[in-house]
Amino acid sequence: MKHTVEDLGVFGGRTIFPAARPIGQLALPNREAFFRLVAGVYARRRITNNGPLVQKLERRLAQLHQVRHCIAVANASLGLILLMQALARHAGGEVIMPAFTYAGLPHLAQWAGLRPRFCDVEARSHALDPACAAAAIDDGTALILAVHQVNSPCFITEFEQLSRDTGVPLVFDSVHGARCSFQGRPIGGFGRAEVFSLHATKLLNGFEGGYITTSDDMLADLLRRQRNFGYVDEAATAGIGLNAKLNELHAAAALSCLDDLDALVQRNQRRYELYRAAFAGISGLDCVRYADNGERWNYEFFLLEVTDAFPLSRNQIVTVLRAEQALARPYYSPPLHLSQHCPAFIDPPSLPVTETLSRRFIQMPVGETLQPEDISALADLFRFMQGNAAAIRPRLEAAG
Amino acid sequence: MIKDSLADLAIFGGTPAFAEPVHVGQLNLPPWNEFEQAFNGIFDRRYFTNHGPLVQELDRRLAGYLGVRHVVCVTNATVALMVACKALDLDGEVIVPSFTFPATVQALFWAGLTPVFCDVDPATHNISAELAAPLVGARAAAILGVHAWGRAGDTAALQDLCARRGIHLFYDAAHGVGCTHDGRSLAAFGELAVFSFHATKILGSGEGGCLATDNDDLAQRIRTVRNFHVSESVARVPLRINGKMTEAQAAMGLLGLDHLPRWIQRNRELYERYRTWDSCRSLGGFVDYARGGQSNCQFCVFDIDSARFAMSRDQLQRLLRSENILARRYFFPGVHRLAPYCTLDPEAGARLRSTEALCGRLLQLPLGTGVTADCVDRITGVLDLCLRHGADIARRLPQEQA
Ligand SMILES: Cc1ncc(COP(=O)(O)O)c(C=O)c1O
Ligand SMILES: Cc1ncc(COP(=O)(O)O)c(C=O)c1O
Repeated sequence: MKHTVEDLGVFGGRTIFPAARPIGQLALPNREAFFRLVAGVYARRRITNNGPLVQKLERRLAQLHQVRHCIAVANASLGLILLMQALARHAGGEVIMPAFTYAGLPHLAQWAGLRPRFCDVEARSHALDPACAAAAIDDGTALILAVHQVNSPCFITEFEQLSRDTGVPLVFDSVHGARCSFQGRPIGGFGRAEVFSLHATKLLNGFEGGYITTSDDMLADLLRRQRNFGYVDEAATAGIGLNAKLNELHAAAALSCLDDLDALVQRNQRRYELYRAAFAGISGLDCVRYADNGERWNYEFFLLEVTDAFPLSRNQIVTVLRAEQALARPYYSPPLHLSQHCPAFIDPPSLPVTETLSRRFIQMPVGETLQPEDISALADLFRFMQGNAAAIRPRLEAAG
Repeated sequence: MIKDSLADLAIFGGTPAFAEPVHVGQLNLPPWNEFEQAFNGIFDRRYFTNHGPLVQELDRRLAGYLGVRHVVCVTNATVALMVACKALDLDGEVIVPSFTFPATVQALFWAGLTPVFCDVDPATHNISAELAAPLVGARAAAILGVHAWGRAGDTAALQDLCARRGIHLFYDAAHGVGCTHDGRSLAAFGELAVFSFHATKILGSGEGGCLATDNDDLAQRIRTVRNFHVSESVARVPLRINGKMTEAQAAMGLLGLDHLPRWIQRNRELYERYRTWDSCRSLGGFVDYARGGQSNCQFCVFDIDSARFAMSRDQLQRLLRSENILARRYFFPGVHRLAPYCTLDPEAGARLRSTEALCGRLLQLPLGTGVTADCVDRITGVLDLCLRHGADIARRLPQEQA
């Protein structure tokens, strides 16, 4: 409990948390299952190159997403490079993407030989706005990269229609749509293909890793070759691939998390509900909700919205939180078109909705290391900040 | 069983020399108890990736082992090469051997660069300054050399050439952990060197690789390129990627480093056993590691002299495979013969004479954890039989496809 402003970590007081409270899931693989699977790896001496554990993981994930193919890769970023390069209408063209998203996406488009074209998002869902995307499409458009947000799938019906109407291929970055549904169907089966991550901060922990889901047989074959240097047999390649192979240890970890996946989602939901209850009475704050509409959600994030009615700014709050070892961060801020991630050859467009949203949200600590009492302590801290803002603000401003 | 007549050969109906396939490739794994301990540690710490403690320790230990100021571990060596191109901020053409693994050249493509294929010196299997110099044109940005089999080539002359022409020099040393040249590790040559920890290499981390350099600024750029994190944005770079190595990979690498001397010693013994096999000289010879420095001896590459041996390399490979001896043509074919380069420049082979010749002659024989001294004897026993009856066998083998 903080009594005076000096008690705040940011001013040298003792931190609330003795160890960092991260913003990722950090789910623990079932150790017994993991060591059992790896004992098999030792017996086979097969530790990568499309081993049996990778194949087993792919089968299980294809089932989970109700798709024909799952292609495991070393991480989602490499998967996105391969997928964008494979599907782009023409080399050097533009990839339509949001700027209110993951920092890597504009880089990945360039690795695929393409150029990012940032479009605005829709205010309620935070997802790429189909009308803005449609307005940006021309002969130079190579691909649409629609990104599911944790709180909303990305206008799937509208984008599939737009793709049919314009002939521009559509893929989804579904890293934050894992285990979610749209109209009762699992995310993973929409567009030409969808890409997921097995990064430890995500729902399914494979250390690092990723996978692509598709029901397109030809595309699946192509991606399987591409992740292995383009090899079709030992002595021939069908094009320029790279090394995007997932190894057996990472596959073993992901497999050892799979049985616990739905329980993890339930624990996430519980933490989300605790957060909502704990923060309910604090004025000037709101949170991003998971709609109660019968769809599945993964409750992976808790996103606090800071309104003008709260006496500290969003960035000031984040500074205070981080000094307490709560590794909160501004959510998708700055937006990519105004950040170091915007390529030099682009004139940053004006994206009013994106820019407004990027000033409002805090991504709060979540995941398996966050205890119920941590959530209460965080709510107490916010009440303390609210009550002592007049003393905190000038000192933060003086500190720069 | 010692095979002594043609009918004993599996290809003619005999029992294969090995009941189970014998692979090329190292496939070295640390002892199980060490593995368990290391991974329990990871699970206890709950630190899985993003520049974790084991990755940092591996970076440090490799820097010590390779004798350089900086090592940055990444997803795999292919990604390492892609990272290298952006950390060096290359643009234009890169002179590179065609006698290499496809990834060397593919990395250039992803980095938006144009490969210019250089032939290799038949004595070293590597490019030389003499061969590279005429290829350095106005658009040349760098030379990317490959230390094939972990043997360095003409490093001093290449260094001179690049300095004179004002272009970068960096190396694909994917094969080279544990190898030296002029008394220094292969990390000492060029502005940076890339190593692979793929399972088939001497030091394995499942998949994995690293970049090694003595240049502080370059190291900062490498660290920035390999991830998107704000906290790791320490330099201006043209492009970034997720190339992070995980704690799982790093744990394997660290355990492997402890066992590396033993694994190298074993390779050396097996390699010597192959090399001193009586009939060796009459078949051709093994790529030798005598010159220049130490080798990890991870590759047992047999150079077939078709003038002295009645069978073709490909016939011999097929015959060995039927014995469950999974010998590999390596490197094969030259990258200039792979898509899309084979259609972009179908005549390239005419300029790449030694590359074509080596690709037609070399055969990599099993050497690694799955191989014992007895395996080597049985393999050389089959080779002996082939040597004695080469002409007969060649006649009886199904005709090769044209
Ligand atoms: C929306 C989005 N796409 C892609 C990625 C990249 O995933 P990976 O870390 O597996 O490369 C991330 C990672 O955080 C992400 O949030
Ligand atoms: C010469 C060379 N370069 C690069 C690579 C690619 O290494 P990695 O498999 O770690 O991506 C290899 C792998 O076999 C190689 O032999």
